[in-house]
Amino acid sequence: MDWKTVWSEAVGAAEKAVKAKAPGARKFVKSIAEARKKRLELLLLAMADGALDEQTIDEELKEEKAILESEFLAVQVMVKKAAQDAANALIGTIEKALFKGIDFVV
Amino acid sequence: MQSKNKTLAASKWRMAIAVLLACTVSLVSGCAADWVAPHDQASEDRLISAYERINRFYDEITDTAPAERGYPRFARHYADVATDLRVLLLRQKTRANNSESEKITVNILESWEKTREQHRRYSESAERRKNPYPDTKINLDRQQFEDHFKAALIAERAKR
Repeated sequence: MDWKTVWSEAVGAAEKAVKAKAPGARKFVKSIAEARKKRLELLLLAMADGALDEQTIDEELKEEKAILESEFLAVQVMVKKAAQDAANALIGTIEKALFKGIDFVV
Repeated sequence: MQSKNKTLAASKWRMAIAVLLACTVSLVSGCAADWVAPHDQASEDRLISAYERINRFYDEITDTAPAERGYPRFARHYADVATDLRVLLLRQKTRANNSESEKITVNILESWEKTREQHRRYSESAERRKNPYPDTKINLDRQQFEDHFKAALIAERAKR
């Protein structure tokens, strides 16, 4: 097996790994905006209802940042895992080719 | 004699190539990317179980008459959930390459303690004693935990 074929197969395997994870990540990122809108509406309703004192309003606005942080940390895990799978698919394909090479040479 | 030497040299040469290739393969294998902790079913189960407990808590408080929604009546629930979250956090801390899930769990625990403190403060306030946990605030807090837990669960499942 020649090196060019091995490399092209390795890149293909890496691309496939990324493509498999991309739709899930995209869907989640979209849902983040909707969830933030929903909670801000609930915050406005609670404020209008007089259910929150000034300190609570301040804490809830900070909470929004914390939720957004949690959501983007989850996105970070998804991206990292996709990159990890891609790197391992690439290395795995090269590794397999090398093993075949050993059989051939020895 | 010359032919015997040639065979020996060829055999040594083949051995050297085999060792070299074996080293290359083991080097490449050692390069396997390991940037994210492996999926942990126990963490996922604990997340779901803590979320269930929080939901049951909100169902119970919603079914309680507003004037009886004072903190002392629900103190035990707050303590139980806080313990569950601390145990989960400990588990997350012991996993390598798991900083994101650890931070999400810290965020959930801090949200829980903040909500607990607000409930305690409202229950002690003469102004709010008649309804220390209004329905609109219940809805707001429920959404906060749904969003945090969704992020935590998605992060854990992404590791599969």
